Amino acid sequence: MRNLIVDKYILLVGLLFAWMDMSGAGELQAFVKDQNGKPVEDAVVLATPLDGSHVQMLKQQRNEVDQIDKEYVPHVKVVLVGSNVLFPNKDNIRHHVYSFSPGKVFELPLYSGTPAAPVQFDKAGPVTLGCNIHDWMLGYIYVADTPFYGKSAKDGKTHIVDVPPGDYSVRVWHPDMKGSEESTSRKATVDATAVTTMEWQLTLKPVFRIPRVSGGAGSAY
Amino acid sequence: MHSNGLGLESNATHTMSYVAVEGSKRPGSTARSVRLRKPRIHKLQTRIVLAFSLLLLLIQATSLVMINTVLSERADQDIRRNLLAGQRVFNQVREDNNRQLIQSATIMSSDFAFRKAIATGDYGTVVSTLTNHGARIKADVLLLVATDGKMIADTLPAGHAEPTFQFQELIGTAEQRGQSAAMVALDDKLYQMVVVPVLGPLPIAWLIVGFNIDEKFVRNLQAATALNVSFLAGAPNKNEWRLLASTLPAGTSAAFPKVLHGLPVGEIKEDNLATLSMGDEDHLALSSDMGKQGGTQIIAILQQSLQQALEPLRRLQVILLYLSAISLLAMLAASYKIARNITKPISVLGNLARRIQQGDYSEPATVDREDEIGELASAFNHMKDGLATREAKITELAYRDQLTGLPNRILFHDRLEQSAKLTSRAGQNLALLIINLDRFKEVNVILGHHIGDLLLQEISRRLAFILERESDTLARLGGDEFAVLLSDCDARGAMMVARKILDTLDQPILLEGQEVIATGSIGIAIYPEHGSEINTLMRRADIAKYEAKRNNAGYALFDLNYVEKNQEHLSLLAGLRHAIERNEFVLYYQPKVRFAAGEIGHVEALVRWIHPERGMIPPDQFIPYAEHTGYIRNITRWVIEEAFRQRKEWEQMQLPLTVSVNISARDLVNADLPRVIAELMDKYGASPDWMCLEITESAIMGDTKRALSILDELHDMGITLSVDDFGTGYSSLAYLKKLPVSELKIDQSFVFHMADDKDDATIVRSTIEMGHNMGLVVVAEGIENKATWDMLNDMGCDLAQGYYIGKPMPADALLKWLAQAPWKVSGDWRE
Repeated sequence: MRNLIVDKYILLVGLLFAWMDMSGAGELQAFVKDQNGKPVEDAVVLATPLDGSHVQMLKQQRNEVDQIDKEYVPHVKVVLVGSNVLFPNKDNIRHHVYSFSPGKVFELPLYSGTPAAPVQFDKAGPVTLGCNIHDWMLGYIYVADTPFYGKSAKDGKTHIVDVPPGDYSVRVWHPDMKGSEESTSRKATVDATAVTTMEWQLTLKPVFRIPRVSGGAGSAY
Repeated sequence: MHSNGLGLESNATHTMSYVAVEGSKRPGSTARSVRLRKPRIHKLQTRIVLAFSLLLLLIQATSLVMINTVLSERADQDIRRNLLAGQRVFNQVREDNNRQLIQSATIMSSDFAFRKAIATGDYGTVVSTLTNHGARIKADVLLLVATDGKMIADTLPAGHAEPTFQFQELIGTAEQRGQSAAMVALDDKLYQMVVVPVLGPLPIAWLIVGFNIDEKFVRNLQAATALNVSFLAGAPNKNEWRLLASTLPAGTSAAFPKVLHGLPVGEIKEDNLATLSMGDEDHLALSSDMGKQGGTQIIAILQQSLQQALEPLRRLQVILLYLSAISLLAMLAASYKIARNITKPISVLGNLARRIQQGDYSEPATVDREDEIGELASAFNHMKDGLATREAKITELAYRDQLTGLPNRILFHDRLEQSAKLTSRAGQNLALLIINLDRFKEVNVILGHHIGDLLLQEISRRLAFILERESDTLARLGGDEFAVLLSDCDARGAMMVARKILDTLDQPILLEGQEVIATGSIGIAIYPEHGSEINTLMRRADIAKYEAKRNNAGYALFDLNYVEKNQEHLSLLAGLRHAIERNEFVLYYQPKVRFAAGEIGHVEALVRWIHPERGMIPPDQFIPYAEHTGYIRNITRWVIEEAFRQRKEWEQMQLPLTVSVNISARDLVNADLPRVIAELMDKYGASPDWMCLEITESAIMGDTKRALSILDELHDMGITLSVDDFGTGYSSLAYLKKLPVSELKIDQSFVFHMADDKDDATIVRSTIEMGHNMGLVVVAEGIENKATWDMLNDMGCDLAQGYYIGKPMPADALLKWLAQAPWKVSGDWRE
């Protein structure tokens, strides 16, 4: 449900784009599956115009990654370069959000509630979120360098709408993917009338995750 | 019972000699029985002890073998169990250890600053953190490896680190499980390595922490498992191993490559333990696979020394052996005691038997038991008592005269000896009296032995009555001879006692209706005056006794003259044997007158010994001796022959005198006598009426039956027989009737005094009457005067003999005498 809410924002953004430039908007539809052909969720699909035309960067008003029940929600958050992200703590315990990712190294030392200042992500690429208190807490923020991006749902499908027609370089990123993001890059042409459909098969690697410590109800952690 | 004769004496002697033989046999038999008995007891005891001990040994050996087998099996199982338990502990320890290491490593890897430094590529910080934290968790090796396997940082000595981590398998495992642990060999050292991720929050690097498995570590393992632990490394499938760490001494562990070579180490498991010979000991071992890292197989060998493992068993065996030895000793002691318990009473009985053998009956066998041995002991005691009683009886027989109960000769001799000693010590005198009953033999013969026995008993009672003092001893020396020992008594006292004895003997004794008067002769010898030696003393008392008898004195005190006399006598008698050869005998003839006719038709031939030195020796000086020695026979033969020779001479001179010859008792036991006489009659052409044989009453009474048959034979030959000395013996007339005699000769003792003594005259008269009644010719001898001659003539006596008529004279003197005698010689006066 919360994902849906977030999606609504994205949808809203799309609608805004559509409303501002009703003429000549195309749609990109992508399907991502793993090496076993199973749909891959949380895959980020990014389309970068090849002509290098400047795409107006619309700053996101509000970006939030919640900490609910000692998990990052959403698990993968895509933001535009330069966006600010708030990390509200919805749990009644403290968290210590950090990132050692090259894209953005930061930490929000022990806190509860919403920290006063958001964190700005001004470098494109994935940022891995951890919690120094709860080792198993893992979240990703993908800092997109293009406004045309989408994130696959449970069915592995991504819909990127209001994409101005033209040629794009489309790539896919997933936290567990083997190989580089660039190697998934593909050229695609978006036109206003048809839906461009693309498909990726990623090789996912098993990712060791620290198992959740079941603290039990009312536990301090 | 015939008990007063020599029979008893010989019996006693026999008994004594029996005792003596027993005594003399003693040493030999003791030696023999000791030789037999001792080893037997010893052997019995040994046998019992041996039997018990062997039995126990057998049982113990069996049980020891069984216990040993069971314990060995058990020990084997125990070792296996120990090894397996050790292996479990070993694994547990390792797991715990790994967990701890992982925990330590995880704590280190979780450090935020550390992570941040790694994440941000702050390698200076990383290295210092590694060093610092490594020291904190006491790690020997710390490595930081990037997710792509490249070495980021390490604490290895410079130049030892590889650019890429060698043990990628560990990281592979850690990627899957979040961590991994393994033993690895690095630079010939063994490490327990753990790999944990450095999370950011995904693994951003791998932290590898290594702990050197050093001697201390294996010692701890040894302490925990109670096993020797060794770690070895080797190339897989090659079975070539090098030692990394071991709790074994270096010398022992050096054997590993050799003993493990070719051994499928992987198979040394629970069900297939290996026995390794290392050093001087055998070890039971199993292996644990420690995994293969970096192409090197690591194994752990857990082992236990069999010798050490069996040590408690050894100790148990030693204890068992000790126990066995102790129980064996106890058994030895117990069986010795039991054996002794059995053999001791036996030896007690043996000792008793020995004591009995030595004649000691005083102590009974004290075996206070109720078992068979007790019964045996009791039987022994009964036997002992029986023996004692019997021996007492035998002693009694040996030392006592059974008839009178008096001491016998042997005992008397002993007493005499003892008294003599006491007497010499006290400086006193001692008197020895030997009493001989006169003519006791005749009592025996005429009145019977039974009366004789009673007489002896009565005399012994009377003698005992006289001897009131305790210290005096009365004994029966044998036959009719008694002896009295008077302690502290001189000659005077002894003679007083002798008179008392004679007095008491003089009292008539009434035995079963028969009145008997016993007379005796007593010889007295005084100790030490008459002899300090007992045998001498006895002999001298004997000599005195003979002297008394000869003199009819009743008693006589010994006198040295007797000895001289005796010795003269003895030398005289020694010459008797040659008297015949030397022609020293001469016959004297005393004429007999027939009252009725006043004729001389008879002479009595009396032997005279004309000794070349001593002149004529009267018959009573040598005849008793000749009778005693048996030489009388030769004398009798000579007398008979000489009488025949003389008669034949007279025959040729027309002098038909019947010659009377005295025949002794000895001659009457000689069956040859009739034959000898017959031969002599032949030789001299004699007729039976040439000779008359005079026999004394007592001579016939000796061996009546044989004497009678000889007399009968002589009678049948036609020789006249005459009873000499009639009236002195106990012969009754009834007895006389049986004899084939035709003449009776009244003893001269009656004739001597008949002129003065009415009694004697009466006896003579009645004897003559009685003789005539029985058809006998009656002769009176000892006529010394006319009165007697007249009385006898009046009484109708047939023949007279005596000095009144004529004394004995040689043959030529007789011829002269006859020539001038008032009596004519009758040719045949009988007709």
